[in-house]
Amino acid sequence: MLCYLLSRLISLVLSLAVASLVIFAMLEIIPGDPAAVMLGLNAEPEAVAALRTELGLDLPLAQRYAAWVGGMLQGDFGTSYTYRVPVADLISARLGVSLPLTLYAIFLSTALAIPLGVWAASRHGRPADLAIMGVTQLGIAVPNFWFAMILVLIFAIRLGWFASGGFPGWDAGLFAGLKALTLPALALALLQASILARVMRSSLLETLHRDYIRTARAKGLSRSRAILHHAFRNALIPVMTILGMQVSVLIAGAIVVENVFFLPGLGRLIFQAVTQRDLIVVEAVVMLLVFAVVVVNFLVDLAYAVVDPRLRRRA
Amino acid sequence: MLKVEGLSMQIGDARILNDVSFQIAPGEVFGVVGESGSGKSMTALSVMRLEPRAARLSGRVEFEGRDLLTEPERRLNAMRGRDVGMIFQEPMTALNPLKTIGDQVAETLLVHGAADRAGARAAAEERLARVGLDPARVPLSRYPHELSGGQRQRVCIAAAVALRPKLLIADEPTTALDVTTQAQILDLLKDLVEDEGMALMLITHDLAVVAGTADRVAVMRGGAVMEQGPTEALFRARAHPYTAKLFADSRHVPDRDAASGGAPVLDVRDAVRIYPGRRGGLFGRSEPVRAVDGVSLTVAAGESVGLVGESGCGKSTLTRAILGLEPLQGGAVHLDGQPVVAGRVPSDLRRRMQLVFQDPYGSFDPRQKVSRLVAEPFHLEPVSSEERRTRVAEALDAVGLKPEDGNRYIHEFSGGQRQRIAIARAIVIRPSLVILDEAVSALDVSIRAQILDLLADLQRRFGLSYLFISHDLSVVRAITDRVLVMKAGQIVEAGETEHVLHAPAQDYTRKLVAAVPTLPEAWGV
Repeated sequence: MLCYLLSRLISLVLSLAVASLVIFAMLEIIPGDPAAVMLGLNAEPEAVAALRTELGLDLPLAQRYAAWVGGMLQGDFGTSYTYRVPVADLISARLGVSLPLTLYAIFLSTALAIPLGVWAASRHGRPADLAIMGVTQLGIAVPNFWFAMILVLIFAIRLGWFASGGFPGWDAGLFAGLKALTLPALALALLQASILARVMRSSLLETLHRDYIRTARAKGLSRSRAILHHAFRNALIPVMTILGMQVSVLIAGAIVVENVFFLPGLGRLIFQAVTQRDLIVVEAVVMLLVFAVVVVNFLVDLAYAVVDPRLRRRA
Repeated sequence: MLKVEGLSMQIGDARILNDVSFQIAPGEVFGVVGESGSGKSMTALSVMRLEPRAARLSGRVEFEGRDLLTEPERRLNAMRGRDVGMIFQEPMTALNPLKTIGDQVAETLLVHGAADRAGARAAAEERLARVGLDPARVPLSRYPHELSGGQRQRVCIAAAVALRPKLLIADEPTTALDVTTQAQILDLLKDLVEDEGMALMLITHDLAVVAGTADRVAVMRGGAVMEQGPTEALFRARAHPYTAKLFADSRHVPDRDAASGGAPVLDVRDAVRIYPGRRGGLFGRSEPVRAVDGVSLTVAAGESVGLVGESGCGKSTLTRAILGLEPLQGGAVHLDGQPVVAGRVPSDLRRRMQLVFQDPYGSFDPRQKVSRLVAEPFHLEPVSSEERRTRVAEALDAVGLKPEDGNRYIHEFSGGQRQRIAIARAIVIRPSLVILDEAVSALDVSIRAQILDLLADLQRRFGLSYLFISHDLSVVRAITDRVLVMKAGQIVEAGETEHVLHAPAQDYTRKLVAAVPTLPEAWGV
């Protein structure tokens, strides 16, 4: 187990190092000088040069990379070119919206998908199964921004249960904050839930044909008890893989939904930073997303080992 | 106790069981023999009421006076595991990989509310000890993947008999195990029947297994019982022609000439293959495993050599080394005088050795037509497409199929035909040596007899040499000139097959030979 953990940790650190190099190099290659953009079209060349020095853009590449990574390790992500405030402050404010939104969406998606998938599998070929398969097919086909608009139309405009957008801030209270995030989280969760429910169903169906299910039935377990005690945990293994991938998608993929609901989240921040060529913010946010994805994968690997005893022995 | 009357099963339009009737008395061992597809397993599953969901049953299955075909599911759940236990053929997959063996045995008691957690655990410990898994050596906290096939089958038995059921149904319980393990499991089952007064329904394709175990026996074919009666009387009389045919096939010895002992085709000298030990902890490694430990053997032109041993003795590693798929740490392999070095085997050399596996289906691409599958080895020897076609047709003809069969797909053929196709693929480029790795182990006796005849015929016609790897000593006896007995990576005994199997010099060989179930000589078979 220790060996497994260590090998996963090493792979985590290596992934982060490679990602930081790639991100840094990418932003060096793309055209556009942040100093020139900040000062506008009519800026004096001297002023641009002075700003470049101030921002540290004239230093050698290696030195700038080292400064960037060193700063990040100490929590210093630099200063935004456009907002003129520390990037760390910008990000932490936005994370206060994005992180709860992602977790909320994951919670909704698993809470919907797993019972639906299990139900469909246990009613294989019957009307309930066919209905769930049909609905999830639709859920995969419909893009989430469209779905977001429909939710606004029904629950905000027609029924008036929720606000159509915006975020009151956590100062307004936990309930108000969660309420504002409910429609966006639902819009995000439905696609993921549709995929996850289908994976859960097919994985459980496959597991139900295994020999050990027959053994369990021969011991006197009822069908539902055999599903619960023997098939479910075995069927979860592929579901966890998909869930891990979805967390990454949800963290990075909230851009559109955040825009539809006018939420001050990371997605909006990176969108604005890209259009304003605020490269230092882009770098930091992308790095953060990579970090989140890598950490989630690490957690999924750990979860495998918890579920599956066969993995605990392997290095 | 169990009374099955006129049991029939239908799935769609197919009639799987046809008017099956038999009875099992308390404490009796009832054998059911038949070939694959004869309905043995379906009969057993019907008694458990675990038949496929699409199946429709009719007739009566009476257990202690209650008709199981009309009992509600709730009552059936209460019966399964408590009154009737069942174990299956494939111990490797019959246990949940994510649960400890202790939990899986204890579950039988917990499900039926027969004990609390602590009580169930204690009972599991006692039952596992009873089936030969001493908790001091094999703790209850072990997971199935940490056990051997034989040990896993013991766990299955412990779970099935945890509540001391009145009837245990064993569906081919030893087919997937090697001979010595098979003998141990059969002994265990017999002991359980005697000690606990349990009845046993033993399903097998192996007549000798039934002969040594069952009081009464039923012979099944095509979903129906051909005949049934006391084992000895029935096996002595062999009144039904099908029973007589089963006996003849199981004892079939193909007509072949003894090898003349020509020049060696295959020459293995002091082969050594060492695997690095398993990693444990951060830097530690366990002892390296000497999988093949100084093995020397030769196979002459036109000769058949058998290689026998228990699973894990190094047979497969040796085979891979001979094929040049496994690097050697010592010694050398020569084929037709040319060295076989792993990773550097020229096509011309590889062409001259071919392999036939146990499971023909697994070694074919299901999306390719048979003609293309058989032509596969031609990538080692470029020939014109014209010649390729004729030679594929010849090969199919040689194994008793029609050239038109080349246009069909592999799933359209039966198990025996698939093995013929595998043989056609092996001989299509005229190899010197064919390695047959358990090539007839999965086949029914009648098919096996045909394949053995075919192999003898092909050997005569093409002067092939065979290296015949098997745990089935009766097959080895039927088709090989010489036999090598392998144990823990070494050849412990070698010699003429008849001599070695009749008068083994080594204890290990004696143990192997003794473990093979046989029909009593006195029964006149």
